[in-house]
Amino acid sequence: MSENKSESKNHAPRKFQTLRIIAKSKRSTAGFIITAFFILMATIGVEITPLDLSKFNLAESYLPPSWEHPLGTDYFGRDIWAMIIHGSRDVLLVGSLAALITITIGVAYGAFSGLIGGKADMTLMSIVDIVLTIPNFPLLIVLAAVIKQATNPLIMAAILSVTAWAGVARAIRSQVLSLRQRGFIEAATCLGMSKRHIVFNEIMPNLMPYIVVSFIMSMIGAIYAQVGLFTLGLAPYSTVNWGMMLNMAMQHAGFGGAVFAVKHGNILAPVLAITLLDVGLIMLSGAVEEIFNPRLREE
Amino acid sequence: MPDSLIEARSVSKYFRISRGAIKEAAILKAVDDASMEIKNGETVCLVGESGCGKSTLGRLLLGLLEPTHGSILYKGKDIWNMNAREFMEYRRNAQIIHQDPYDAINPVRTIYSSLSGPLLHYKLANRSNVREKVAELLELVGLIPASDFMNRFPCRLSGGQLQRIAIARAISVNPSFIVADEAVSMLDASLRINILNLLLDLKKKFNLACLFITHDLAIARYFAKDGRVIIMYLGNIVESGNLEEVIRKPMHPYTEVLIEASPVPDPKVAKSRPLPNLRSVEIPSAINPPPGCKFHTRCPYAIDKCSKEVPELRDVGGGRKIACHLR
Amino acid sequence: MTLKGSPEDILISVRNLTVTFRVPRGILVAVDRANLDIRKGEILALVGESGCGKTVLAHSLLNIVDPNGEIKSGKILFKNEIDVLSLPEEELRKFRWKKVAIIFQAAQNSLNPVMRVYEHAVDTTLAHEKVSENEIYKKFSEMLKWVRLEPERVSRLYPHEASGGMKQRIISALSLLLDPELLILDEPTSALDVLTQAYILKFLRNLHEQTGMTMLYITHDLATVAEIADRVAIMYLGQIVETGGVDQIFYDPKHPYTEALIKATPSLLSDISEIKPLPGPLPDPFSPPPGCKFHPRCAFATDRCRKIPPPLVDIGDDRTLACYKEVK
Repeated sequence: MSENKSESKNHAPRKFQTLRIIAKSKRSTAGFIITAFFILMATIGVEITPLDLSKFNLAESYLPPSWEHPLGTDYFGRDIWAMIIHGSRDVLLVGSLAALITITIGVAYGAFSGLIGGKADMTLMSIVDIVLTIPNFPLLIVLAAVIKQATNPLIMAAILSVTAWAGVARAIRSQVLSLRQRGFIEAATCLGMSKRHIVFNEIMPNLMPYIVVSFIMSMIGAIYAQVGLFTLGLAPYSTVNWGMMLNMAMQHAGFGGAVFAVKHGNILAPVLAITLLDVGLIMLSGAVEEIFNPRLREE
Repeated sequence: MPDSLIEARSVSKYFRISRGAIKEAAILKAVDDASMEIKNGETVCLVGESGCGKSTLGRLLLGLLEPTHGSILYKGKDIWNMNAREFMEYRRNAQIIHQDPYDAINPVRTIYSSLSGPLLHYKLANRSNVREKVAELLELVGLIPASDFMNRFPCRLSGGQLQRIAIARAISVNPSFIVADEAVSMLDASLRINILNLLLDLKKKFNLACLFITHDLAIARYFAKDGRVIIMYLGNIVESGNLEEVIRKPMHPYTEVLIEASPVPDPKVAKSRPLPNLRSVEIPSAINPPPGCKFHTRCPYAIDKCSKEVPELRDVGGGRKIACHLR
Repeated sequence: MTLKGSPEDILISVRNLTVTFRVPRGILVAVDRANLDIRKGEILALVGESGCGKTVLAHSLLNIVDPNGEIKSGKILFKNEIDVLSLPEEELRKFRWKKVAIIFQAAQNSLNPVMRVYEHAVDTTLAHEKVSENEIYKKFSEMLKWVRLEPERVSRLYPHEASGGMKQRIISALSLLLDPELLILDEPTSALDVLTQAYILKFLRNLHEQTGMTMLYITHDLATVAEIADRVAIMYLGQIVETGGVDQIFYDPKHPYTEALIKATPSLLSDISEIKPLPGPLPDPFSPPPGCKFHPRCAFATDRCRKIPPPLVDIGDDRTLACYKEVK
């Protein structure tokens, strides 16, 4: 690195740098494609695919995969592929809303605690510790059963974040504590920069990788929790949902027989959909660190 | 003092070190009853080994830490009793250069972004000319052409280049006082003179007062030429005076030892010098320092009085002060 | 290059060593056809700036190179018998630590935090020799006393209970346990205070005088070299550019780079006005200059310097030099 050599390149972030970084590794490209695929499914796919939930045609019950029904039909003769498409909207919507609520509360709480320090910090973290000991899933079951408005995606999302924010708060607080010790924060203080500047322009940009990864992980957790609730039949439902599909499949086909008969499409389809979405998200999260951390970018 | 810029009056800084839920917290006396001052445009070196409190004293003078006892004065006024406007003015005038250049600059912001912020904040530049001003700053510290560095991130630059940027940032707000905390210790020995020369140039150009913190007497000597030196040990100031004189004729036993132990790039001299005569190699703990004179456990000349009474820092003429019962 | 002195004198001889690294930016040549002799019973200082390749060269003596590094060519002979670079796995393991021991940079971090100090000693020794624990403890206590540490108190400590200076001395004691024939020290005093540094340097010198142990002392700080070394080798951008006795190098440097390094080292005694910074510009390690690598920064560079790299030759008086200024 020569001090005085002129390489008159402009080192500003290039256009589409985010996409370039994702394209660099097979993993993150695959993750991006999978995630994009599901997002398209949940947005456009739902509009262009007709689905008649009230259909009741036992003659078309459990048909094997065909051109008309790519994944076969369920007990009521409804097309599984169409149900997967329609189910994705609910899953993605609630999942991302839950992740949004989780990290908004978690980041604000954790950052505040880390910045304020002292006894207040100790108290806030004790609350976090208590929340972390609450058994997550049983609480979700109770809340989903008791809260009548749980059919509303926003309410559902709020229920799913009721304990999830605590882990995020703790992680963000640690990061903030260590960032506070850094030389550039001391320099910013010396330079008289306002507290607002220090928090939002110096500390926050350093937290971005953690925040985005936390978002993706929260989303994955929310998806599993939500699908879990529906599979066990514990959540009220109004629209089609992958977990609901699993629930119905188990009810009508019986658990043992379903796996080996033609009916297995009923269980495999939603399971594969859930797994694929989550794997896609995880693979994408690998690229997140590099997008937000210039140190990892190779020019 | 009329042209006293920064002054520390009987300043102490204690830290409470928690030792678990049951044991009582220990007190770490990082700085213990230190008094010193720096005049306009003066250069003072603060020398001592790690744990002596020099970094803490530097931060007290910069208002980054609040003293447990005593006061810090800027142009005669106690900084912790100033109103918001006065304090902001003091803040602008007192800047820091850190030891680790990679730690001192925000890794996720571009160089332009890190340098333009303070300029805009103090209205030393506006949106239309700030880019130009940042370029000027970069060229002032020898980073030419400035366009090479503006939009880069710190991870792409070398330690020497980053330290120059840290210096640019410090002088960008027109301060009157700079604290350089081991500013060249993490750089290669061969690069140090380049950075020191830059600091010397800027110091002269802007008539800056400078507190140069270091553990290396030879570097201090190069930087401070006609300046003063303050020697610290375990939180106390043990000797101060004109740097050349202190090196030529040290008075405090600890100063003697520091000079004897400093490596000299001259083989015949180096190999014929004996080891400093110390009673113990270990530095005592700062949490439980020895009673009386803190150096007495290692001092070759210690007498009974040294373990009982704390020596005061007294004036011995010729601008020299020492804290020792024997000299 | 001709060997100086009889072959029995040479403990390690390095010939034409080239080590490269594959990094995102390209191929980095860390060591470039380097030639070096380490003589039995001497303390040789290997001096150069960061990035000159001195650590890589030292690691190559033990055939330890980073995973993305490759020893492309060259020969390293130990006592003119053992070809280090072609030792099989098991022989290499025995060679390391018993014949050649190394104290890495920031060695204080290489102590296992969950093992007490004496457990380190036992572990290390038993990996190489079948000795009873009592004997290990006895030997280790001797080594600890050497570095002015109390064996009873220090052996029981966990690493985090010891100060930086203590840890450095503990590592030194550990490295001596197996009586290595060559001890490599990579910046052993860089994180230490002046007083502790002075003691470590003096202790190393005493150890050397008492046991005749050969040492390779790697540093960028010339001042400490004057304190400890017998001979000095100056390294620049992967090549050895000058070697000689410590007096010769300091009082009569021949290579312009050596001269510049000495002039850039402030001291407590010398005249400050003689201190001059190293001339720029700093080279790009990925595209080093052609010919003599130092020529862009050299006041005496000629056309020949810019085209043909000067070879490292014997200039008499037990010195070698790679420069056209003195060698026609």
